[in-house]
Amino acid sequence: MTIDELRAYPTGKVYAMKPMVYEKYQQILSTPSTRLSKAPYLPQNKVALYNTTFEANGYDALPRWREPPESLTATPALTEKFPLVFSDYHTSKVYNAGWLRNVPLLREVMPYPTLHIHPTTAKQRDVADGDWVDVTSPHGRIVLKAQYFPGIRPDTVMALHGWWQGCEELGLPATSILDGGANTNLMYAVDETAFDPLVTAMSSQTLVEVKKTAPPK
Amino acid sequence: MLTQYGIYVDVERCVQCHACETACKAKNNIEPGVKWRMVLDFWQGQFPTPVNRSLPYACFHCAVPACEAACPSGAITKRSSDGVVDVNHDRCIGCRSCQLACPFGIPQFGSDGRMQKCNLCVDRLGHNLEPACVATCPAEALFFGTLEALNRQGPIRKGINRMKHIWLNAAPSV
Repeated sequence: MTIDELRAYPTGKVYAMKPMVYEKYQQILSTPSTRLSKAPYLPQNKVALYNTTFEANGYDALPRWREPPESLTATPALTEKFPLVFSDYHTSKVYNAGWLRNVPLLREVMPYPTLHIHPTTAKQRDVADGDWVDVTSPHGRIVLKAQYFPGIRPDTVMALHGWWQGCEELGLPATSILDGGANTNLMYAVDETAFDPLVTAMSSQTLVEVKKTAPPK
Repeated sequence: MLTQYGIYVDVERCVQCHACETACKAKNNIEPGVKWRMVLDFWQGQFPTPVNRSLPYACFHCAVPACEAACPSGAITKRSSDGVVDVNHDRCIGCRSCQLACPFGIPQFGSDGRMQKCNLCVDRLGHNLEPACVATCPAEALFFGTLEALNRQGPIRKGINRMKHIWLNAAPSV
């Protein structure tokens, strides 16, 4: 489709759905892997809940729960200074991950990096709906706009990750990826025990305190 | 008899994706800061039993438009062919009387200082196409048609009656 054709459909063009294929597992099980041996991806020839490949390499064959590096129960000593659980989410109603903030049509819907906070938790800190707040963890500090969110646990606050782009058309400047910006990655522990040993993902949980602050320039 | 087109909103189906808002802005080429359709966000209750609701909201094209009555320059008229409350951009003097008169906070003012709002995509209507917001809605929460046609659908009729009961004076065409 050319850009001119696309412009002729300002509300989008809807195509009919392709017919649904059922029992696709046969196709998946018989697909050779990209390994040199071409061995199938699923050595047990079925969907593996108990992962023998992980086990053979010294990892847990089944998912194992462990405490995040910082939490209300794992690090009670931290809770005096940082009494709230902090985490971030990656999908919002208008953005994908860390981009699209520069698209004015989307940025208008959600113009500022926000902190979801329970109204009771906010009022205890003299934070009104829409106030700018400093969110501080043992590792970093970000500045967000408080949004009263009655659906969240009162001991927890959440932010959207991926804020750095500005939006020229709306006059919104880019934000720092360092302390004082809105980059949630700064907030978490980075020593090696904080990472998942198998998929090496960062633990997206820490403890924070929230304080009212002046709007960023 | 007046033909009245309207948009019915099924709030139970709305997923608050704002696609109607952006489709409206893209199709009508609306400048930043102005919205002809907006999606409002409401909370009922709180953790652990919160309910979040949203309401896509635009001009209701009232049967008795308060904006039309308030306009000193005759820029606002109700079209008899489709019931659209239309704004004549050239006649508008930017006095904002309509903004004060409208009970729903609909009239918007951009950089040219003149009133603008939803016109039910009358240009698309002429080609037998639904308004951009309705055509876009991925959750199929918006329905477009004449009020008689919308009335023939059971759940929709129930919703309309409930809303008319609340907003009797302006008789919004919803």
